[in-house]
Order: sequence, then C-alpha cells, then structure tokens
Amino acid sequence: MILVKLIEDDNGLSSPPEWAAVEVQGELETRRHTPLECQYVGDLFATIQDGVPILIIGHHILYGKAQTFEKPFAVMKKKLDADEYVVEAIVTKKLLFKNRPKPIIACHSNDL
Amino acid sequence: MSQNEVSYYVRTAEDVKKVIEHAKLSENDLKPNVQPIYFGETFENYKLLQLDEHILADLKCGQTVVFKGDHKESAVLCTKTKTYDVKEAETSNSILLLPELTFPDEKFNNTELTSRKIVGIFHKYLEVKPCKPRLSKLRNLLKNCSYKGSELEKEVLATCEMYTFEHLSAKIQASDNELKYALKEMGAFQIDGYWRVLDFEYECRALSFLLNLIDEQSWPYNTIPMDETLNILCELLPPVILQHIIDQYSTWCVSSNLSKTHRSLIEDKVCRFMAIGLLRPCDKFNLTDFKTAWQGSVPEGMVTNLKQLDGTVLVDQSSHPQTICYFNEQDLPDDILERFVCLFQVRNKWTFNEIQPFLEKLSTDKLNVNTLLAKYTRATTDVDGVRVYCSRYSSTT
Repeated sequence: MILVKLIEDDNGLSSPPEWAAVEVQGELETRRHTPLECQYVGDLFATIQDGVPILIIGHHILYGKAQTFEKPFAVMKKKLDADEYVVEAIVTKKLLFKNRPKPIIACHSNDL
Repeated sequence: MSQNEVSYYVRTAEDVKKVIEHAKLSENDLKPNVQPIYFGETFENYKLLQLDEHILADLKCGQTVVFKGDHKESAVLCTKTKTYDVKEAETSNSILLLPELTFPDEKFNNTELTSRKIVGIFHKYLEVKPCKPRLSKLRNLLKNCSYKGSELEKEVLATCEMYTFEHLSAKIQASDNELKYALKEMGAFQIDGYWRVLDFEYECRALSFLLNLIDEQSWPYNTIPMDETLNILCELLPPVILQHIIDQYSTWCVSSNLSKTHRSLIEDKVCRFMAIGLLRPCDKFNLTDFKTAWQGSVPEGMVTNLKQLDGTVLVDQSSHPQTICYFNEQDLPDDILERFVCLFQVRNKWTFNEIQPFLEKLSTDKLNVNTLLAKYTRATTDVDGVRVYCSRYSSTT
C-alpha cells in the first residue's frame, strides 16, 4: 500500500502549486550528447495577435498552441523513508508544439 | 575544456534580438516578455499521475489517495469512494515540466528576459481508469477465518489470521466505501474488532434455531416478538451471533404499533439461504424435486420463486429431466475476461436472462451488461429463434 499525499507543512496539508508543461515531438538532446542539466534550450515567444507561442531551439522554429490537458497530472515524488508519494504540483495546462520544427536558414547580408 | 569546469551559457537580450532577426520574425509582432528556457541543475525522480476530476478534488481538499496491490496484483488507485485501474502509458512526445511559465493569455509586464527552468522530461505517465473493486480476495480471507461456533472459536483464533478494517483496507483493492459496502453485502460482522463471516454449516445451525422457534410458537414469519425470541435463543447462541442472525434475516415490522417490538423475516434472504443449503451438498438436483423440497424447507407462509436465486444457481432446461445446481456469482473471478472463460466453461451457450445475473456486478455506467456481451462474446440466434451468446474463442457449435 503506497499513499499519495500533499506536501505537509507546519500548517498542515497545503494545496500544491500549479506547474506548466511544454510538450514537443520527439526527444531533446544536445549535439554532443553531453548531459542536459543546466544547458540552455531555447527562447519562448508569443505573438501579440492571437497569442501563438513560438519556441526557437537552435536552428529550429516551432509554432504551438496553449491547451488544457484533458486530464490533469499530479507530479509526485517518492519519499525515501516511507512508502509514500508526495504531490509536489498539479499540471493542468500545456504549450503543445505538435508540428514538425521548421529550419531557420541563417542568411547574413554579407553572404549575399 | 575539462569536464569539471563547465561554464554554462546565459542568454542575453542581444542574443534574443539576433535570433528574432534570423528567424525573420518582427519584434513588433511579439509580446515583449521573452522566456529563455534552460534545463534545471538536477532532474528529480518525479512520476506523473494522471487524474480525473474526482481524484483531483479529493487531493485538493487534503484527502490521501492510495495505490493498492501486492506483487501478484496489478496496481489500483483508491480514493475514499472509488477504485481505478493504473497502467503505465507511454508517449513518443517529450513532456517538459516547468514550475514557472507565463502562458500567452496571461498578463506579464516584465520586458526583461525571464529565465525558465525545466525540472523534468517525461515520456511515461500513470494512466487511471475507473474500475470495479476487486473483492474475491476479501471473500477468501474472511472464509479462512470464518466463525464456526463458540466451541471451535479458540482453535480458530489460535490458528487463523484475523483482520480489522485497517488490515482489510490495506490488503483489498477497493476504496474504503466500497469495502464497507462489500462487507455489508456479504453479511460480514465484527467480533472484538475483527471482521468475520459465519461458516456455512454454522449459519445453517444458527438460523434453524430461529426458524424452529418461530415454527414451535406458531408465530407468523412477519410478526416475531423480539424480547421473547432473544430470551429463548440467548441460551443457544452467543449474543453477538444471535444479534447478527437477527440483523441479517429480519427487519423491524412496518406497522407503527409493532415497529419497536416485532420483527419480520426477510422472505427472499431466508428462501435463498434454504435453497443454497439444499443445493450445496450435491452436484445436481432434479428441478421438480428441488422445488418441492425447497418450498417445504421455508417457514410457513413464505413463497419460493426461482427469481430469488438469481446469481446463485444454474438451471439446465435442456436436460431431461431439468436440473438445478449451485453456482455462485461470488465465486467467479473479478476480472471480466477470466469471468467469461469460467462462464463458458460451465456452459457454452447462454441466453441473456441466464447470463445477466453473473455479469451485473461487473457492469458500470459506461459498460452495461449488453455492452459487455457485445465486447466479449459472439451472439447468434439458435434454431428456436432465441438469441444466445457464446465464447469468441470456441468453434461454432
């Protein structure tokens, strides 16, 4: 039997924070397969008109949309000292980038 | 650069301007807040659990939900009232988790770069689907420590494991509310805090004390004076058992002048118990003989009816003479597929009315008996024009 609980602080159980998800196709990896920790991934923009999220990763541009998960997720972490999971956050919204990334062709004026 | 002096790249406003230009975007079309995204320093060992609105609401108001199941069982998740099947689902997409992120529809006035951190990448999550509680184990656990009478109780206590509600809740794949309901339905009761059922032979004996008394005193079965009954039977049965038998097989009389002093036997329950008592010891019973014996075994005034035995017997109308045998729905597997295998082993063709009592408990709002049949069986029409259901896996007979 494994319990799933909220974080308990001095005031008792506290409502978990809301985290966000970004969903992309396939895998994220670095060119040289170095560990991902602390690495820069890309820039997230949004258009003024329609609020379309735009993610630029390396030489790729991705257009996405904001969505609500049909069923939300609980983010759980196993406690080391007990058969217990603690719910650290709830995720209900995501930015979904489901289209294939488009390449950006860098083109400097002096290349022309 | 050696491995331990990695210096991490940090985004500047200049870099961002450049990339906008490269991508042939116009800064004027974009909101001023740009969020450069980085991976966090460490990825915690998080698990994603899919929720439905009930689980979410329960968690939010501070209720604990519980994964249940031993190594041989597939896991379920239980809230206080519901049970869910849990399965690991995979997605080819990557789900990145960010504790902080501004969505396009959210107001955000910072025009500086706002760094955001990914704390985990996921391709798997735990998927939940509402399911029926799995209760066959409960029946087995309680049968193993059933109450066999005061003279044998010492031995039972010494040799069998006993279960409190907390023990059962930890072992049984059901929510606490479903477990309470199941205990009530199977006629379990507590002795000194432990949940018990009566051994069948013992229950026959205990109930017959009550029925014999009613017969001797010529009381109508629906007007039994309680004080007198308790006074006489307390010589024969321990108080907790006597009370249990009375609770199980009778209710207070409805008419107001008797509603606190007299009880009425529950006709269907008594009839069913007597039928099981007749059928259990033998393989098959001639249906006509059985009906006569059964009617003779119940208290004066009660009317037996095969409908009372739905889900506890099989009637074979195709044999000559027709027969009836004991076949209890409660002894069938909880798993739908396994249950159909069992049902089709016993009989290869079923009509709707025959099979319905053995499937009813597995049906849900979304999957009623008709849908279950459509999903797991093959329907044909036999020579008499009756619709029958047979196994999908057997050759047509």
